Amino acid sequence: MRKLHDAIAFLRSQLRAASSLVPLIALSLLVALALTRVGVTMAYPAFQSPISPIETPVVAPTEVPPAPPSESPEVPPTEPEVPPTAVPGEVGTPVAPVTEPEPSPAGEEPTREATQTPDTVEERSSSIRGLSWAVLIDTCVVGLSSLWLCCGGIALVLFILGVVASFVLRAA
Amino acid sequence: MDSRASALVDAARLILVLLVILAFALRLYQLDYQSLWRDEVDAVLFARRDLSGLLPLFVRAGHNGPLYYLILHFWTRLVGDTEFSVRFLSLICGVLAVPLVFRLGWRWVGWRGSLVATLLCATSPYLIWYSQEGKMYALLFLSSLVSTYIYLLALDRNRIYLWAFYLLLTAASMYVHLLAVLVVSFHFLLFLVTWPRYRPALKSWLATFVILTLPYVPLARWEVPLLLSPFTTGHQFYRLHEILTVLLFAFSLNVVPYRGLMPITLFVFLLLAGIFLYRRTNWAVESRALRRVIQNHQESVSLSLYLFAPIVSLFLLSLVMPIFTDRYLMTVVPAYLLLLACGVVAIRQRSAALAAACLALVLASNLYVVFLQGHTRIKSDFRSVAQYVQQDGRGDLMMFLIPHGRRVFGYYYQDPFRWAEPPHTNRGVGADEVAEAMEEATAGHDEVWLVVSEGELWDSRGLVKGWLEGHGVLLQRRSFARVETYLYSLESRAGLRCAGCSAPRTRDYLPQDSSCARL
Repeated sequence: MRKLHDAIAFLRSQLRAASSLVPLIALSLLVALALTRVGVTMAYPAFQSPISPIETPVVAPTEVPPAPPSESPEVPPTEPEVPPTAVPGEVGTPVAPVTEPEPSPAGEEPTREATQTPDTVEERSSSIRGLSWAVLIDTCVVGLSSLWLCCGGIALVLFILGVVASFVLRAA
Repeated sequence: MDSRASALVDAARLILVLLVILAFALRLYQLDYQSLWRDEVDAVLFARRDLSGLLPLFVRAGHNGPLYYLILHFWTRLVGDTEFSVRFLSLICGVLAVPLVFRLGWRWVGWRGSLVATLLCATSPYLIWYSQEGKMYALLFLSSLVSTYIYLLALDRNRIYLWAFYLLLTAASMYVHLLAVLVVSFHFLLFLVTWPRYRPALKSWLATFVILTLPYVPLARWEVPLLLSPFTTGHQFYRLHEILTVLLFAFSLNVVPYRGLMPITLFVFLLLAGIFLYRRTNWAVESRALRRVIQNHQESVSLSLYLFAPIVSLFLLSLVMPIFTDRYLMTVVPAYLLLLACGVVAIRQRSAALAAACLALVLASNLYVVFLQGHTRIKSDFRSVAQYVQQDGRGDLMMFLIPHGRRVFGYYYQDPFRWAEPPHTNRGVGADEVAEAMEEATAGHDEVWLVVSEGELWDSRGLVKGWLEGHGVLLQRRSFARVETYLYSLESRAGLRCAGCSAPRTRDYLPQDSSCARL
């Protein structure tokens, strides 16, 4: 009986202590509710990575800029398969995505890989040299504006936090 | 050190050893259960290159993680390039990170918080996932963790060799992954926020950050022009709150579709408790209010910076060029785990029972997700596809949507095979061009396999499959995780449609329309 009494007393004291956490629990619930309503997690492609620009207009091979910093920027040369029976370059000859192969070293699939690889390093470099000044200035201006807005946002948050903190500390 | 403190340290060390063993066991469990996916196979193919093919990647535009491929090159020379051996390298990095989280935690949140963080690290489904993947992320996690730990040591002790070691590690991290540089933003801000705590190290700190720009120059040479170009990466743009949501789910529950409200509420609760309630230092500093708040909550402020500075940096970068993917922020996972641990400790100060319950629930959630990861085919299952095609024995041409699947298929399919690349219709290729290309690609072939994985990235309108259905007979179809296989017969390319319902005929259909199941 005494043990039961002790257990109830313990639970009561724990509940009393935990009651101070109720506002935080409520806040967590609200935050979690808001986050689960965002819906972005369902459409998010988990561990996958993109293979090429999605829904972008056709870009001529010589205009393809360097590959993005994704994990598989190009196809390594070692290929165990036999080359396809079709004549190289006949099948589609698509504007290769940025993850396409570079010319293979001697002795390994010499022609096909090369014909399907328009975005070689030289072409990438030429695309950078051909960068439009208008685009560059535009990008800089947009970037600076975003940075300015962000700094303003951070400054505002810091200011509010500072005011709240000073009140809290004064009260303490 | 008194006897009680000494006993505590001994106990903590013993628990740490047990946690490292647990981490190893969880990472080893079902290590090769998932098939390799395309990026892993790319890593293997990179590693198969000789040094003359690998070393130029360090300075070549568009290359990410050359140091990892170099390490993997030597590793696979040593142990082979099977799924198990390739992933074992990541496993080693993942296990080594566990005691480092403990060391880092010990400095910031004391032994209790540190042990909780280590337990969370050992059982984290996210970290286990990447410790079982043949890519650079486990190494990135480890290298950034070591870099941060050495940085803290260098700030404290201000020794030249520590600063040099920090420089070396941080530079190496940048070549393990381009976005490892994001964690430097945290290092930079930490010094400023904790000012004047590390004042004696000011000169070394300044010199280090100046020198740190040098190893970044080869990367900046092509990264900056790329950033300023109108190039699109293929990554979707995410707003900041979306990034935070994705990261919260990823770091807590990883990729398993396990999206209930309650588990995520628990993680949010612990995170908020760690940020707002945790307080270790108890200094009575007579200074301005804001500084006193920072100093009184120095650990949670530092850890919040560790967590959020790289995230905000990546978001700012994404304003110029969308680049967000959760694993690129692998470097902030230690901060997330330490903040969760701080949350547990802060709740324990109020209610030990509640803290124990929270920790038990988090562990249960972690182990449940780890179990799901080890028993659900999540990655595209090209291993089974290769076995299936090999066993079937039919088909004289392979077509892959997306063509990148060919490399993964080739990894598993040991025999030579003939293949053709379907047209990239998402680039604005029309039906007529597709028809022409497909006619040429399949000329002389009677039976064609179409292997579809992430096909919408290449042919979102389904023109390639549509052409095969219109010009061939579907012999069989089989679904695997994230991969569909179709075998078409192209023996007779005329009159292939059922006159009754105009559906493509399959081998089961007899020539007479009356036998069509759809009639």
